[in-house]
Amino acid sequence: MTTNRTELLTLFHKMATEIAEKEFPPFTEQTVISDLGIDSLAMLELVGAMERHFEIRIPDEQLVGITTVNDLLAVVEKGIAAARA
Amino acid sequence: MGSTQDQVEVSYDVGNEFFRLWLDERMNYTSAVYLHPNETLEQAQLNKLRILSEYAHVQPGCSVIDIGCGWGANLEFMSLERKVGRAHGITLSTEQWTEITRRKIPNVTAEVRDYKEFKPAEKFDAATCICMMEHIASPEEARSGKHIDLYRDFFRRVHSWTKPGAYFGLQTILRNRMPRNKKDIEDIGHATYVIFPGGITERMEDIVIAVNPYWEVMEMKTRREDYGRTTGEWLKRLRDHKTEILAKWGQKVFDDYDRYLSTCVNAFDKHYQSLAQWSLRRID
Repeated sequence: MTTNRTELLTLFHKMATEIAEKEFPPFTEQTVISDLGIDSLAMLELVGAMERHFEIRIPDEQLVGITTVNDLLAVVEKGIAAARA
Repeated sequence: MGSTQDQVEVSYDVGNEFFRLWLDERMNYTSAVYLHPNETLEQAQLNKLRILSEYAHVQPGCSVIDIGCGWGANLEFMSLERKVGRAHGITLSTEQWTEITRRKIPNVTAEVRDYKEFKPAEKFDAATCICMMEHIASPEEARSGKHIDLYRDFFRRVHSWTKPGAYFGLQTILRNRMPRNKKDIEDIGHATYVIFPGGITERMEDIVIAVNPYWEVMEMKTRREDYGRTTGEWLKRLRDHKTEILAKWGQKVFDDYDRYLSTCVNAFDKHYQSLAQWSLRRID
């Protein structure tokens, strides 16, 4: 199962493209998610896609305050680590 | 500040005859409790009222304040079945107050009053509140973290209206988990902003935090599946009266309530929402 940061970023890009139904310019972990045109509703869809892909459950309270791509990937990584513990 | 009077009237003043078509005969607009598989909605609503009276330790001859009393189903139950000496209800809906007054229930009084402005002349032996807390904080207040202070202020006020040793029977909808798909998020948004503007359901942990230092949680029972079944029955009855509703209230009202009740059935099924009944005892 893919878990390293580079591959996670690629997965984020692929899923965001599918959900938003548009192509994104190159972005980094420091990119603010809303700057990509991903609103809070689309971000929840993105979280759901990540949960299904990795078969994890992310608690809602961890979603509060997510601003950057890095914030979201860190929460996903935490979920993966918890599932493997 | 939660729901304003105008917003409450959007939610409850569509018309008493409208709600009478799809609620039970006593017009309970809150979850019933199904204790047996074959019970009717009417029987299940009586179960709910009895449980909350027991949680509030409602005794014959006592006085009870019912906060957010709806169309008076709980007031009527406490008067006729529990033989209370006095049951007083407060609501922000003039249509609901009109219905309670029309019923002329013995030992029951009611007034259109915001709980923040309610100042009773005498203290009550017990308190009940069935799914009114959803109107205390707005979605914006919950997002900005003001909701717990608002809930705590509510519990402080109820504490001040009651006598030492009083119990409080409380029923609340619970916000459990946000949906992860667009349709379900939009449907919950419709229920939140179109059907119940100004309000939001609570998280269980918020209530546990907010009752302190005024009330002790003595019992708590979740009833997610009961609310799913209740809203399913409401949806069936709404659709059974589709022709009449379309003729009297129009397509938009029917569509809004069909979507709202369908959303509820889905939300309870998928654990987005749940229900809790609480028995609280005053900390004196």
